[in-house]
Amino acid sequence: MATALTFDPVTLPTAAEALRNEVRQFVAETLGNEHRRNSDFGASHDPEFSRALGQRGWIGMTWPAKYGGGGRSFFERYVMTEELLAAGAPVGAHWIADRQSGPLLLRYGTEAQREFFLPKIIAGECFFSIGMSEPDSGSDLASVRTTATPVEGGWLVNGTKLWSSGAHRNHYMITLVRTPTESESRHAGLSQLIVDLRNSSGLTVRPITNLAGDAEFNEVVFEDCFVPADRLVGEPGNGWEQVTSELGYERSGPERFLSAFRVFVELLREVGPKPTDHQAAVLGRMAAHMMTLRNMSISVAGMLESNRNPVVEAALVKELGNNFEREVPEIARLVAPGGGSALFRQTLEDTILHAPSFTIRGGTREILRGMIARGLGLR
Amino acid sequence: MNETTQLMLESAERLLRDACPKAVVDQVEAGQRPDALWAELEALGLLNACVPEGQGGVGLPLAEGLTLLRLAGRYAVPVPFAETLLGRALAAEAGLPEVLEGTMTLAVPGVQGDGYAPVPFAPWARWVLVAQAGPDGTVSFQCLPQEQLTFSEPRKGLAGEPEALLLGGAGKGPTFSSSLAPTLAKLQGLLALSRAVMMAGALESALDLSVAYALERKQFGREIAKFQAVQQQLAVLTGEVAAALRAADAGLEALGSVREATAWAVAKARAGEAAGKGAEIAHQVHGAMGFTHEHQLHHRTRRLWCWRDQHGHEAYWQAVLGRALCAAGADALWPELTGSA
Repeated sequence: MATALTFDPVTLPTAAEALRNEVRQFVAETLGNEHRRNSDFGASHDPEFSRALGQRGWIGMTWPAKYGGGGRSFFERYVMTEELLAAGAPVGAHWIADRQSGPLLLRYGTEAQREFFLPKIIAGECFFSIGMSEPDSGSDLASVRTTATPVEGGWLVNGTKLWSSGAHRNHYMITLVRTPTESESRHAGLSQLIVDLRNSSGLTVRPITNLAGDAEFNEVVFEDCFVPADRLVGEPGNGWEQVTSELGYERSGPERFLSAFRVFVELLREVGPKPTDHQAAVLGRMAAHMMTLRNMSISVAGMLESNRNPVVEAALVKELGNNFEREVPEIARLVAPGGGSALFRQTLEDTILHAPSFTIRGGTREILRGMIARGLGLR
Repeated sequence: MNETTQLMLESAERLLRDACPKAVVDQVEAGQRPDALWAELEALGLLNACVPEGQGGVGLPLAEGLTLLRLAGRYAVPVPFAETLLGRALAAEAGLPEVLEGTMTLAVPGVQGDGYAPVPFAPWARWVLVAQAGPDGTVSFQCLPQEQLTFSEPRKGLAGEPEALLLGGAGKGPTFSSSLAPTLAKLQGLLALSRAVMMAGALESALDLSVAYALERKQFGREIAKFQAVQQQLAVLTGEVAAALRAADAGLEALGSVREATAWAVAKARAGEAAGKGAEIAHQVHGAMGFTHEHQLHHRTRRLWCWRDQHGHEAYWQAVLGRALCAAGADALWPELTGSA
């Protein structure tokens, strides 16, 4: 096949399946057995739950033991995260730190940064936001204008970051900035700084209320905000490469197809044990999609485990997964038998209100399709 | 995948590239049997992939041998490939050496309980393996020369291949059973899986043809591949192809496990859905050219439209999955989906 898609078969190792039962038990003990709403990694902020996870060793579980990490496989992390998401657990507080900030520091950070930040993240006590988008830079990330000017002992940052989820309550934000460069290339002169969201002067964090009425994301304004030199991640000017690699962790995980999962669960409860043929087919179609997506996502986890960089495969998981997530509430409202429990209606309405974000966050549908097209050799 | 399978897939691909060009598929559509192609498939031993070595076969397990069907889909191979491959594996178990030569097709009760499904290639088959379901769901087989059975007037299906309805003639003579397909449900599941694997292969080919066409066809002074509207459509097609491939492969991987029936239902439902969406996009990208008989795209897309309906369409297998989930209940949904119930 000219396009050479690879989704290798993977069987989850026994250790991962054993962990599954542990996580289920933990969720049952910690959150009880009451019915829950969707686990949205962009919201559902619960520091206490994150700390409890940290105590179990379930944050930074693939990271090296010398920083307090679990040294476990990507498959184990995969199982742990999918169990939490499927159960509707509040994973939002530590999610970004665990998924991408920690791995970024492991790959590009200084030894001092790793020793300082990683143990705190692992303990579930240090939460990160993403500082990439700006008012005029969304999908076109390379056009960011926030600057960092070198000064004695560090950098002075000026500009505005936008859509930074959790910046109003997290501890740090890895911020993409322009640093001085001779090069004309728009990908040159980009750098990443770790900004302390709680102890910086010249920094204003303004929550932005979303259409559902929640204040989860923020505008973060920098006015001569000083960032110490030792908070630079990697090499100055290497930011584009770093950001691209960071985005790779974002795309293929179970959070890309489980955002509406509780709607599926509650729909099944509404339909009950005796579905009509139509209801059965609709529910079965959702199951066929989910099982296939999960299979693809695990396959990508396997490729990450063997240090490959499956860019197109990861983009395909996100593209298919996000489309599925957006479809779930649309299907549920049409096949539910009518009326419905308060929990069903609440979960459905929540999901309808949040669904527009599914195909935008972490790379819009159009950008992802463009990446897939590049993989096909079309551009 | 074992080494023998890998080698066989490679030599099969080389053979099909040369021996199954568009002209051969066109001939079949015009009513001419592809005897030369058949002889080459036999010579390479592909149709005996799952016959034990002691009986002159390659001795591959079913899950390995069925991977050949992806090539049958990719090259639109116009013979009863799946039927002969699977039929010979079943018949070999009963030790019937004479039926391991010549084209074989299968007569199998339809999944929706409405009598026998149309028998693919019935007019051209030398042997017909007739499956008969017992009241307890078990299945027994008779392998009969085609001329001993009565068939309806043959007709051409969506793919342009001949098929006919079994009207009678079976029932007399010895029967046998097979450990590979002891129940009708398992036999139907295996056949559904075979169609899923074939659809995955045909979709791969439709994507390749579409990408190549978009890079070659120029409008407004540039290749249509340079237009974002076309790129986005091809990306969607790629997603459908990837999903069909993974679902079909997962079906093969599950063969012999407790999850096999579920995995086969998923494979047929998901690949069938991908077939419809994928064929639509492939045609849209090809424009009027792809609507001509001269172009080879329709040899893939017409097979996709044919295969998605054989041995249970999407809605049938989706409902099988859905009813099982409803019976298990909402709180068992996640364990059911992850196979960790």
